[in-house]
Amino acid sequence: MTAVDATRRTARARVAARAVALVLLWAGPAAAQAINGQGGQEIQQLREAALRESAGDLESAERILRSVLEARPTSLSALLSLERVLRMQGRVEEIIPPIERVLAEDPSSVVAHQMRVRTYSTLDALPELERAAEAWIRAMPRVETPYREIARVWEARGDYKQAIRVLERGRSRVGRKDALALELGDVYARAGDLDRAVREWDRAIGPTARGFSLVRRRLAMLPDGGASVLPSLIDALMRSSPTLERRRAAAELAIDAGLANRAEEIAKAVAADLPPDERQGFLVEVARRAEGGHLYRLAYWAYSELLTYDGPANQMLAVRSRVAELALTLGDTASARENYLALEKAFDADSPERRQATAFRIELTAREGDLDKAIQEFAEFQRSFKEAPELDRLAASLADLLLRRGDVDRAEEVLGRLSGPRTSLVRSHIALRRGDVTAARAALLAAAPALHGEEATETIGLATLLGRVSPAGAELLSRAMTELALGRTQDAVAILWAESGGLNSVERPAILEFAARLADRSELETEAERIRRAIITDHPQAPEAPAALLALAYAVSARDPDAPEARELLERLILEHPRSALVPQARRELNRLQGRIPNS
Amino acid sequence: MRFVSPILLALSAVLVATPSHAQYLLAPMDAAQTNHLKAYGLTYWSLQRGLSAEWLLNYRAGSFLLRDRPEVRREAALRGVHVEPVNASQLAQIRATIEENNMESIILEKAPKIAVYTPPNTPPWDDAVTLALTYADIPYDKVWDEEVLQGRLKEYEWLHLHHEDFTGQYSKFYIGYAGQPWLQEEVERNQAMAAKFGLPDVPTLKKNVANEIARYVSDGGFMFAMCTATETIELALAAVGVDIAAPFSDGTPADPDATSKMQWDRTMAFQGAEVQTNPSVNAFSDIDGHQVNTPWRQPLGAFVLFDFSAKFDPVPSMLVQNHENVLPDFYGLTTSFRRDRLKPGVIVLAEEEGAGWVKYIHGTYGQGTWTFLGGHDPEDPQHQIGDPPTDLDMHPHSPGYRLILNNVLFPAAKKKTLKT
Repeated sequence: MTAVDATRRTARARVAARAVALVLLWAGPAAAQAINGQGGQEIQQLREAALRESAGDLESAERILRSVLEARPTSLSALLSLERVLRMQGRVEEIIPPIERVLAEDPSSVVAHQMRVRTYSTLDALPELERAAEAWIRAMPRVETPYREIARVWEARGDYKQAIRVLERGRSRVGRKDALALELGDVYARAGDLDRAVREWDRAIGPTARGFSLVRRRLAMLPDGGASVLPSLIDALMRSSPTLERRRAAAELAIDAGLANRAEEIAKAVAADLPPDERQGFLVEVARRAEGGHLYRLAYWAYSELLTYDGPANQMLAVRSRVAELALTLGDTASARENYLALEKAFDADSPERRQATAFRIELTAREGDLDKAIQEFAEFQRSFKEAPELDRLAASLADLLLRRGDVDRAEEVLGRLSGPRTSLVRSHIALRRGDVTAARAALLAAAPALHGEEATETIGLATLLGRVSPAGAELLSRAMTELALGRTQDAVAILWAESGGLNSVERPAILEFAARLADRSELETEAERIRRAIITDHPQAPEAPAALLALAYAVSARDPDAPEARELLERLILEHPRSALVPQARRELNRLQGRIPNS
Repeated sequence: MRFVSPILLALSAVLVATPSHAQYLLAPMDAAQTNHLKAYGLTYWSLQRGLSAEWLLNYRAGSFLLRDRPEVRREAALRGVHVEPVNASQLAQIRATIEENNMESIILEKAPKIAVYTPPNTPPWDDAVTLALTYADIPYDKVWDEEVLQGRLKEYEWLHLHHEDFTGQYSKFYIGYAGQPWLQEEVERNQAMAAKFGLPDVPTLKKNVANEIARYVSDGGFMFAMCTATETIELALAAVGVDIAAPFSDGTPADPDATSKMQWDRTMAFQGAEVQTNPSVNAFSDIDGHQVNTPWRQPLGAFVLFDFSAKFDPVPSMLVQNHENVLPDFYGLTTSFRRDRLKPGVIVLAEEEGAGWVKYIHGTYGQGTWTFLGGHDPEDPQHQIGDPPTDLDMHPHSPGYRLILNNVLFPAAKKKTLKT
């Protein structure tokens, strides 16, 4: 053995042998008791072999292990260690004779049979592998283990047909229809036969859904998370012997798969059939899973059902809060208001929860159309909670509704002296309505620091735009903002597009860019593209031109990735605006369109 | 002024303090460069259009001197390559600096015609060289067994070998990936090719291909190989009449005495290696110092590029031009080359200091030259099957990928220069 070989073997053996030594140190006393008489000596030898293996002395380790097996051929610890040592030396085929000796003494040794089958597979010795498999099956024909393990070996070799043959044979010999169903489902799934996989997994789940958790784990491991098989599996669970347990399993799978209608239909039917003591637990599970899976309508139903149960006050309030929030998410303002009212009554008078519930309830009253009543209640709320954090949002919400009705003075009155980001934004809209660009800009800048993300960016962008426009431009923006406040984005965009023609060449592209972004936000693709084409044609040197070129290139390439125009637009951006911050993005997109980088 | 094209106006803005009549454009390759990899592509592009270029070895980390033309400036801007105009007086200063230091100017005169040995329909993201060529926009043709065996290699100046297993054992992937559709497809494709040429099995097919490639190099070709191709082409060349392939690939076990029967006088780089004939060990021989898929795998370190005399050793100098000289190592099925397996005369271009292996080697074979770089992907050191492809736009300054591109431009150098 050369010095290099020794170093190499030492390195490869060390890790494995350390693990073996640890196992032996832990298992030593128990094993010693089990092997009476010579057992103590065997344990000593196994430890010695592990130490030699750890030091890289594989030859000595092998010699010791062979002597242990000589004395007691059925020592599985020695057999397993020898297999590893031989494998590291590239002589795994030499493990076969010791395995044969074990099997001669103990023909039912599962470990020995399994090792023999796997070793022949490693050696690519297929006739021997088949003979070893037959011998194992002969030794225990009515036990599932050999069929399962042999099938795994064929499956690992990619021979799914053979794996299925073995499992089917096992099922017939074991004599149970659902025997090895889980494994058959696995192999069919790997072989791409999803119909049969579903049939087998349905069997594996069984009438009492005992195998459900195992199948669910299998589904999660599929490349698509089980999306392709879940609908059929749900159907199967509901169709064949639809016991309550199987229907519960189907409901959980439907929720996991995001099949909102199906999940709702099954969950409601199951809940109706369940005894009351089980029903509550089922509803909690459905509510939790449905909310996690963004099936808000189902979650709302489940939480609402839970409200009919008695329970500790704090728990019931928590459920009520979820119902109120979900009602709001679903746009059911009447139900949300009703629930917030119930919460308001349930919480202590001075509690923050009560204050929050009241604020929500007032806002919902206004949204439902009773604005006068809401304003009255708001005044009372303001008197009761002078420093409440909810005041900013609530006042802004009411003032915004008044603005939509065209009642600017009353909106301003509601805002009063309150300060906060939401009220500042509404103040900017009021100022624009009155043509006071300076005040509008100041209000936007006051709001921006407390806002986040896209909203903050848009607010700063609008403030910057207002700083650049003439009175004529401001008036145009003001009219557009009014339309926007009324929820009429398309009209806002149309005004900016149609009436910006008379503006000077500095402010027009800025206003057009603002209009294009509004169009983007409302998915008005044609308008956005038309506006941006006007920017790059009429104002090619404007600061807004690079962004327009990039956005147009994205739009064109999304329609047709091979369109030469997309590349031309990007090249224009790079060459005509070399100092633009968008140039790196343009180069990247150009690389992507030319296939120079992977699509990611 | 209103009639001047806005594009020309913009181009002039790209270049800071642009002299209006510069003769040359310098693409510096030091930290000032904004995209090192695309600078190679720009140089290749210039050569393709008949504009000669110069490679200024060791001058600002191996800069390129290009002819100043509007179209070159345009391409530089589109690719994001930083170029600096150079007038006659500045050029004189550069030449004086080169003259007085360990630097040299190499004329690049012809864009080499490139072939990449890779199966058809392989995406470029599968291989570091095709990744680099694609990203740098350097065109190449794909050739595979059929083209090689039909003698088509002579149409090319430069050949890169994809990470092919020339022992015909499908990179021994059957150990860990038996049954995977992509492996089955690879097996079927190779077997069909062997049958097409009337050869009994895939190992025999690959030996024939290896011999053709060796002939191409011997006749004056430039060959660059990475990863498994380095080690396995050598094993295939040496295994004359010896079965070194596992039963999986040819139905018969490898000759247990294969090591003693290898004919190392036929190889380019290695000698005296022990062949790994065990079908269950995922290695081909003991040439690789790291043995990544075996229990005795060695950890990754860093490798150092040698500093050659640019004036006296221009060839190895070209191959190691870089803005960094210590590079993090990266695994491949063949990661490195054991020093004690190198033939005398092999030039070591990069090594891991204190380790028993080297990373990057070069040599001559007949009238041609070869270069071997261990590892799979310089920017994906632990590369695993199924990893997302490397996006070179995230690594435009990759020193590892520069080594690959040095090899691409190396055959562009004037033949006279190379022979000195």
